[in-house]
Amino acid sequence: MAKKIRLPEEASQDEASIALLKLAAEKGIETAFSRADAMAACPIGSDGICCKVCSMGPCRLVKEGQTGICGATVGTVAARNFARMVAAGAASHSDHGRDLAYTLLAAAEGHAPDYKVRDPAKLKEMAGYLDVKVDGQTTEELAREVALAALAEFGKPQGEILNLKRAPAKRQEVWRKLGITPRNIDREIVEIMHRTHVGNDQDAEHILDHVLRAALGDGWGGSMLATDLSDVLFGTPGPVFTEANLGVLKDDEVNIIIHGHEPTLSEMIVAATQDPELIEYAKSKGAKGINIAGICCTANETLMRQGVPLAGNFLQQELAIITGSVEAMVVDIQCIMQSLAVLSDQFHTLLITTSPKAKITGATHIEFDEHRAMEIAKEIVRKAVDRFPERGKTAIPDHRANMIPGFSHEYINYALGGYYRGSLRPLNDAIMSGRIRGVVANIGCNNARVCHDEVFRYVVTEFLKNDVLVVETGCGAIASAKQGYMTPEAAFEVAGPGLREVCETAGIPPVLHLGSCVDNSRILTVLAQVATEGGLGEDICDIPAVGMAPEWMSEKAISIATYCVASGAYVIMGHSSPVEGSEEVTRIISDGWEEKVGGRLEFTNDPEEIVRRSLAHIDKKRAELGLPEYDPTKWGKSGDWRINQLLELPFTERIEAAYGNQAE
Amino acid sequence: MSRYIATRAIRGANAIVAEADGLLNKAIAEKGGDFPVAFPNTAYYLPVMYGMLGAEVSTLGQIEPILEHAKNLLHPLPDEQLWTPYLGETLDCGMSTLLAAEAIEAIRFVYGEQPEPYPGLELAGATSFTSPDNGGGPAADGHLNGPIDDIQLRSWGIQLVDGRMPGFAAIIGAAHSNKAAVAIIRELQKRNILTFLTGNVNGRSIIDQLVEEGVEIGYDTYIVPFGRDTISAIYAAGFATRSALTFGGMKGGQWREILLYNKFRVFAFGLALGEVDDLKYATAAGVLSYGFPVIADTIIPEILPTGVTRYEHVISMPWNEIEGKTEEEKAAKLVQKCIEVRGVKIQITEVPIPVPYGSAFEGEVVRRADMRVEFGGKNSRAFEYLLMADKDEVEDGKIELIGPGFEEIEEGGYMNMGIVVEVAGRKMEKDFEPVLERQIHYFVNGASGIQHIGQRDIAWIRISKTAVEKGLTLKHFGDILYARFHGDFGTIVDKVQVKIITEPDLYAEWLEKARAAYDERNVRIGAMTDESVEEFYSCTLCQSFAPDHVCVVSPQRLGLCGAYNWLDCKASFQINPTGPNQPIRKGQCLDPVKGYFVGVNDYAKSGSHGSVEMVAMYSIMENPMTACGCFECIMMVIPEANGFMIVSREDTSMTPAGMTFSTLAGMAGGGLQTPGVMGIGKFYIISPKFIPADGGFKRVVWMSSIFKEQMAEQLKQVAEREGDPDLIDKIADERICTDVEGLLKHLQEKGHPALTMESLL
Amino acid sequence: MEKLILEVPSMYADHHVLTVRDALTDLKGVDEVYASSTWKQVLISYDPAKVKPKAIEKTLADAGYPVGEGETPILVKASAIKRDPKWETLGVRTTKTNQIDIDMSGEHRRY
Repeated sequence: MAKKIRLPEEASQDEASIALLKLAAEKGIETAFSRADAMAACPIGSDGICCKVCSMGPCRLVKEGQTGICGATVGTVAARNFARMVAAGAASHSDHGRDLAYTLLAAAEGHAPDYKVRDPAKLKEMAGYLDVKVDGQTTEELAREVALAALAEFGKPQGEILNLKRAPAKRQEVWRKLGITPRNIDREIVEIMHRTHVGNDQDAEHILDHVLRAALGDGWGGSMLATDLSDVLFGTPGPVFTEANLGVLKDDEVNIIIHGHEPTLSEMIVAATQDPELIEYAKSKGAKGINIAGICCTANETLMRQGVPLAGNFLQQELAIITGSVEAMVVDIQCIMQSLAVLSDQFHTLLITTSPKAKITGATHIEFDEHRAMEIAKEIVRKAVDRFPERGKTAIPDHRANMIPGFSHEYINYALGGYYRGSLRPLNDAIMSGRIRGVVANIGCNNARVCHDEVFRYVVTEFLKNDVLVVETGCGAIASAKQGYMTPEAAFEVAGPGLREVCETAGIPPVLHLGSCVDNSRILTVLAQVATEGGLGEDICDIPAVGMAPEWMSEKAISIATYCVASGAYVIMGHSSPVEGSEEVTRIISDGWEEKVGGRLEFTNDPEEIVRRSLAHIDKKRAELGLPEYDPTKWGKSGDWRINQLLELPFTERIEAAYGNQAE
Repeated sequence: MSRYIATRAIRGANAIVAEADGLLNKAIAEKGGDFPVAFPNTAYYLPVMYGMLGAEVSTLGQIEPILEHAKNLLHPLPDEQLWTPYLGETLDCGMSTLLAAEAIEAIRFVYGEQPEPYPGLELAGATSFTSPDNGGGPAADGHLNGPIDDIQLRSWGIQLVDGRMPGFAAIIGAAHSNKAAVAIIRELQKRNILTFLTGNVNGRSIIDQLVEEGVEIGYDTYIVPFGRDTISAIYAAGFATRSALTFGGMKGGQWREILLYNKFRVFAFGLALGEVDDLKYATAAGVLSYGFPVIADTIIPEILPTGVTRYEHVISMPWNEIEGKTEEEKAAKLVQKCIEVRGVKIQITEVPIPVPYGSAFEGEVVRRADMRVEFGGKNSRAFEYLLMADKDEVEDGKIELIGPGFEEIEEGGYMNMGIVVEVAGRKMEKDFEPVLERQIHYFVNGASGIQHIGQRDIAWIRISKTAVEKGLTLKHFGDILYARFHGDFGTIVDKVQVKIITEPDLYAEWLEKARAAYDERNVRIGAMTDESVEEFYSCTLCQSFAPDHVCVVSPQRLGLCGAYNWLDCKASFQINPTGPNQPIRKGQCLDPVKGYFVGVNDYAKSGSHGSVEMVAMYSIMENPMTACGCFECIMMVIPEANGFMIVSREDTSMTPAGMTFSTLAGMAGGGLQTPGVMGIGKFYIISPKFIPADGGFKRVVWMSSIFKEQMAEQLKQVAEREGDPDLIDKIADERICTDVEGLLKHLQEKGHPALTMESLL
Repeated sequence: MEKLILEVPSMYADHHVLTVRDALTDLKGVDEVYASSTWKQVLISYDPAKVKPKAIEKTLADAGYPVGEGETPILVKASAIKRDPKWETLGVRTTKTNQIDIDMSGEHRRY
């Protein structure tokens, strides 16, 4: 069958990417986009009905009523496959969290001199949740205890995950009644692998109940610890100004791209690029300086805390190299395409792998060791600078958008009331009045089989027009950033009248950047507080909110979706369903889960349908809460517009004009 | 916020903090860091600093760390483009502004610049509630009020809690015209809203406007001029903070509680008249944290989303765009909007008389020189009598003037008058007669230009010349009473008719009837005992202010505010069965001496949300009843004298406890049970159930002299009842001593019985 | 009478207005003054025969309000990437609903 090769404009919505895809096509360079065109997805695997858990198979259950050799039904197979996706996703997030705990421990014990507690206030807040008494210890002593308590969460023999108590009381009760309260982080993941071994748990619903439990261990366990520990080590994000898209690369400076997911090494590299000695060194090689930019969630981590610009999201990693302007791409873990190694060989770019957990054949491996972090970071920067003279012709697209990211959960609280009155009350009030119709958490990956960023653009635009506040993380957030939706001005240009009013009141953009994909735990925290703040029900499932990953592709996205559902959220995933082949499983994760935990998981590849379902859900929840029906005509009166007219008058006229127009 | 407001508020905050810093450095250099600072007559130090930070600032040097905190709360200006969020930052800057403003006023007091001199101004109201002279300010020939003292705060307390005073307005600036200023003030007064005046526009303050128009300002008219600049608006924030400390039982440093207490329980708002500058925006940002919205009569950016305040944050109502033909109509619309935005609940009864009406005029004094005519007093007699009559005997709305009016009386003259109100209603009871009759005092006093003092046959009424010029006649008394009885007591009163009697024969006849009724009532109320009833009444009026406080009112122990006795509570319950006064079944009596009842204990526990376990009705030393802060007097144990002292709210002097009323009030109020300290109503002193568990009236070793004067007759009877007719003389007062040594000397000389009684402790 | 508008940046609040007005109205030849702390401008009508603009400006400067000078000092500056330094130093790190909010709101919370 002849494959349809998409035009660059069909493959991506993003102008910078389109330009580089054209260049790649001219030069005959392969990318994920072209590979997706060249190879169709395996239809059996993508529907979740290929079982390869033993060597009697793989069994492909494509016929009505067909079972595997062992008799496993389609439902069991689809559930097992889904479960293993969640296991992999939860493992990835959680292992990321674990490493940060070890870094904090090393820092507290003085073994990692380049790291320290940057945010003692957050450390104390965290200690409270981990049952560590704050009792006159030094920051280091407390950090050590917190690190050990965090590490215990992964494999403690008894009890349950401590952060679960951050959920609304009613939610905790739901989990307890169902018996899906995770006991520790690792155990539930291991248990998925065990249950899905040949001849073990063979009841789809039973398997999927446990999936909820393991996913909760990710959201409220591993991911939440990863977020909190990163904040403690590198500072809790607050608003900051920067730019997004490949246009942030510079023609006259050494460009280093940090890519992957962890902030640990990248924070050091950011610091190293500011080292005067290295800047001098760069100058000695003919560069004006050293420019650093990020891709994927390493980008989001350093963006939120240090204002490091975003070069792009997942599907732009190859394109960054194709600009010919990247001296080094430093990667750590997750979502790093192996193709980078081959691709970088075609340019002067040095691909440096750094994680002991992630090596790529053909890449330069400089293994990261937190004990000599800065030394390694400087070595990496130096190697990048060394490449500068080898740079050939560059093709940096002139596209970049301004953005104000940095909306940690803590900052949102502060933003709505300051030091003395911080709370989410104004947010709840805005939702209750109907100025804000509801909230959408728009997150997740890019997918080479979906027009890059296009679904994000469409759904976010629609939501903003409909006065829906959008919170984002991960590659979805990067998409909106490039769109210019993360500027305060966007509220005036795109948002509906009620949302505009709220944004103008707080000075916030209509789309809030909450961080990387482990920072979806921030969304959980916000939701929990919205529920306990009062006026919007008592549980997360009462809130007029929807979660979505319209361009998802990774197993982590499935884990996130599942823990959001387990926490009570309605989640819509775009693209395709990994359980398409089983009606039973499709029903369990939607209607079945809704009955059990109040949230449901759906898949649809139709962007309009995503918007339709989301707004319908939001309006349904509003009605259930007895809130006024959404009516945008009531809002939009407040703001600076009128005083600005007054300012245009000369001083002498302004004095009386301030009292308004004389009535007839 | 809006970016425009945020920019100006943050800029204003940065500027005022820098200015405060400069003034403080200068003051410390000139006077020294140990130089004392204080606002007069308050136990709450510099109240915003105390409330927010728990800082007991009493010297200049102690302001330094406060300003450090204020600096920490400052933020950068938002950019013109690509601004970072500013709401939280602006609110921080607002608090910073309040702290800086309070520092500046404190320093001004050090230099004698506060209260602000205002030559020629005479503040209305010379009641003993008025602060003596604001701490001996600089201008003997007139000054503005400066901060409100604790005594006044407390005396307004009961009105704030029972809703007679629905809230307060802080006006900043000057109205569009003098006429508009008066109209706005009258609208606020009509609704009994306490009004604070501050600020100016181009050097003109609303204070100037009102003074020019001859409006009486001062505590008595609910209009308090703070100062002619915006900095003095800090006194409003101080008043709000102290409300929470006094009535809410908060402690210094409980900032979140104090701010939220104000958001949910104190109905206040800011009214910015005229153009709004950086400091005004910054101050507005400060009061927003208290949950107080701001309304302006000029074009400013509106902030309509809610959250920090309960309703809209900032509203703009440009004066020229308010619909209305006259300034009065516009003012009415503006004030109505303020009330909506703050969610103030006001029940307004329209009273059809030619003079302004509202309880803001209750305290108004008609001086002899301004008087057209008086009834009662030295030369004549006035009485008032309300009686229940058969439905058929009362013609609703009939108002008769029987006899001549005062038209023939010469100016400044007097005559006899009787007011007889006959009411009928299916729910009316004989017991309600005195309760309703006492309302005549409040109702009549609400008219501007009428002064009413006393009750029954010792009523004393004056009418001012101005009121008569406006057309007020005796018949209007009937209109007032008719409208108010229907408006306020419509649930029990179906028909009301009023006779104003000046015709001598009829006057004498009715006076006799009234006196017979008074005697009968005395017997009836006096005969009621706690044992003779099955139910006591709760009073949770104050709970809106002190969330954990509950009052239990029995026939022999009236409410601590002095305003509600058992019959009042009963009537109140009948009038509003879901209201603040609910019957409490006494239940089993566990201890008749201390006054423990099962029902009362159960009620106290639930009513106080668990913070009070038991209440002894008749003891101060064991589980005493709690208080909100609006008590008439405070009792406190004097261990050395083996007895108690009782200090009146009206007594500003030092007491043998080493504390003035203001300081003591902090210990007695807030819904806390403190054995040995208790807030009470003054008539409880003469009750047979006055702390029998602790020895009764014989334990009283010291009392404010005002009691000895006001209740001389009753106290004499109590002394006789106690079997010691000379007891009153043996009790010391502030004229005799204000310390323990003096007290003991006096008690020993007079042979006070407490000295030989069983030890209290 | 002539009119003069002067920029007085340091007059940011109404207590300054009182001082500025006092200084100007004492000046011979000055007829009317509108001092606006909102717009930080003063509108003066004066008799040019009796007083010169220079003298008016000097009076203002002597009173502590020099014309065209004295912008409000902003004590806190954001970093190059618009980060507010106070975010770190104030250290507000709230992650849950404050129980005091719920308690204090009383019945008002039952919408």
